[in-house]
Amino acid sequence: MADKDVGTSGPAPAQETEPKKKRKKAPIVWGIVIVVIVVLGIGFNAWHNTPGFCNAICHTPMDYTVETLSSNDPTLGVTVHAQSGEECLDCHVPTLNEQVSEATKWMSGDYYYDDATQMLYEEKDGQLIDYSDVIPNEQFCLRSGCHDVTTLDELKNKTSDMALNPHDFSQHGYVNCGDCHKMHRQSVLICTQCHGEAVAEVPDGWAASTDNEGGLE
Amino acid sequence: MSEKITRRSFVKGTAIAGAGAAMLGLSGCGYKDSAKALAEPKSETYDLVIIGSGGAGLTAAVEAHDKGITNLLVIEKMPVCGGNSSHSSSGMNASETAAQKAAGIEDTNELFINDTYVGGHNMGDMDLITYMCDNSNAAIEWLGNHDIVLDNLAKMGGASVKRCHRPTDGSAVGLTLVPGLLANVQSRGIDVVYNQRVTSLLTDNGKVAGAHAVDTQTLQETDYHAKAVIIATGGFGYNRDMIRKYQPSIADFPSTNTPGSQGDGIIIAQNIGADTVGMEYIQTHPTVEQTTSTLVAEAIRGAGAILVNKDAQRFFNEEGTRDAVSAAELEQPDKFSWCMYDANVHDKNKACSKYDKMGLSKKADTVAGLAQACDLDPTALQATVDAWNAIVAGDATDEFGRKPQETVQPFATAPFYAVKIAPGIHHTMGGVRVNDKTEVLKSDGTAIPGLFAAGEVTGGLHGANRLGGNAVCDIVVNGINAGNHAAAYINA
Repeated sequence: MADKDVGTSGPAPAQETEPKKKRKKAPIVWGIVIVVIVVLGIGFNAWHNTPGFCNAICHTPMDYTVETLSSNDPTLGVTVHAQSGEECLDCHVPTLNEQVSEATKWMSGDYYYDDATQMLYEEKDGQLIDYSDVIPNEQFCLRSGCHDVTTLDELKNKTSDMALNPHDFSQHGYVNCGDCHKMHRQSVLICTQCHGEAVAEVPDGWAASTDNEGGLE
Repeated sequence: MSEKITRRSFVKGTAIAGAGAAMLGLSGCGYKDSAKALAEPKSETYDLVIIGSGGAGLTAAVEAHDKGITNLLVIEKMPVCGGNSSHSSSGMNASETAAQKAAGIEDTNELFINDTYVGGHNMGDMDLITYMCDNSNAAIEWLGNHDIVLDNLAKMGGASVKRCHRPTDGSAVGLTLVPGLLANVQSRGIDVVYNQRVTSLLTDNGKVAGAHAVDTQTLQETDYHAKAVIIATGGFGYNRDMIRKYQPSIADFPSTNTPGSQGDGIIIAQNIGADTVGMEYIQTHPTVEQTTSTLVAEAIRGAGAILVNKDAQRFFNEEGTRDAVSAAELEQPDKFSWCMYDANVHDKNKACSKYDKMGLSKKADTVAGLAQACDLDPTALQATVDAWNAIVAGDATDEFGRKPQETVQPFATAPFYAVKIAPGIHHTMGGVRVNDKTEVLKSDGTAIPGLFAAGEVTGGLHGANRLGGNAVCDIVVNGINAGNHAAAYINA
């Protein structure tokens, strides 16, 4: 209603003065907006890089993962990595595809959360699988700055005292590190799936393969 | 388990609504294209894709590469390569070889063909048998040229002469063959991808055009486009459902196979019209330790081991074919027997020390001690051993028809060993129908263009029963054969 009054009393001067006022205020407003965005951006980026971010929305699937960062369980890969100062995104390099994939799986419920063990898996056709797009192979895990192993022989020598050396790849080709070394759940000595005698060599805190019918030649 | 099913059912119920909500949200964020990309399989293109990294697949890869097909990929479902070939214990049958000539063994391709045909109850495909036997010596030489030496001869069940070629040191053949082939694959820079389960074959205008695979770890799907595909996925000896379907009487036997032997290759080929042959013929191996599924190598019987039942009696020709010996074992009291050998046999076969390490073997310094360890009547076992030694010495004829070869020595050198055994599922003779060019055939006998198969995934070669040592011969001969014909098809 007030606008009408102003408009009828003197429309021409009002049109001239109002844009002038806006021109003076606009840079300040935009400046504040930009500063807020930058501050939020820096804050978001810092938050984004912590377990808290991962757990903020996806409460159920991430609780176990976040808790295990400080579990002090020396056999759990994620704990050991966290203790040496690694953060989630050091391994889970945030690509758009992966984030969309995770969000989609969370929204569609295409994952399996076991209340008894408080473990998170993806599941398809009744089979539990890893829940990451990261391929934990020698290029990824043994890269410079992480597990610095320059030759696979060096790796082989580390376990040469085991009767069936799991790092001797001459018989079975190069096995992905993550096929045995699980980060977010109990690691598995996959050799036991066929080699019954390897059950005796399962490290403390590790598991033997469950679908083993026995030791085969 | 019930918790798991409940959760899955819930997930399924909400999945459609959830996916809808996700798509709605994502399109608003401008992520639609990315989401679409995730839903679609990745795409890679090769000239040749080989499914399976056992002996047949790796051999085919090396041969195809040597024939100029360098843009090729080997796809393996398991986290490790090798398949059942890694388990292969005895060796590779071949005739008219240099090793046989050096040992003064007279053998011919015709004799090998006849043994294979008769051993398979006259059911084998004569074209496939002839091709395998005629090319067996060439395959031994091919292996030699690729630094894989099999020159230690052994006699196997159903073979007229010593023609099973083993590694020089008498070790299990899989421990030489698979690493040897793998070294050749690696030195040629041929890629092997693991954890990739092929679920279907890609086709284009009736021709095979690649394979569709799912990563067993991440569920990422990939289309591997190719001009030709070789299926070398092995048999279905570890697939209980398929065994129950085709041969229910043995479905509960332990299996000596690797867990990957699920018959995947047969199913994907059937789905595009491939015919199968002999699916009901599933071989049991007579000497399988039942608690661990450990196979006691046939070469150990060939070297002189005997089988005795619960009454400490021999009951059959230990060098008979696998089906016959298995059947005889199942007629014995409590359906088991003891595989017994002395220190001579033990020391010649490396695998024997493995059975010791695994705690599977009984050991004693006297025959009476061995009887005690196996809960047998010592007097009866001594009588059985004495009768056997008379046969070995040529002083008596075996009532079961076994004619121990000259190299077999009396059961006399302490210590003595015994492993308790019974039949186990070992080999599936049936599979996709192929011709002697490894082309996969439809029921009308025509070939499916671009599709080849080699090894245990195929049927017909072994008829109703496979002779020990013929599987390794098959995978090497027909691995080479498939590599050759796939290369020729691609280059045509």
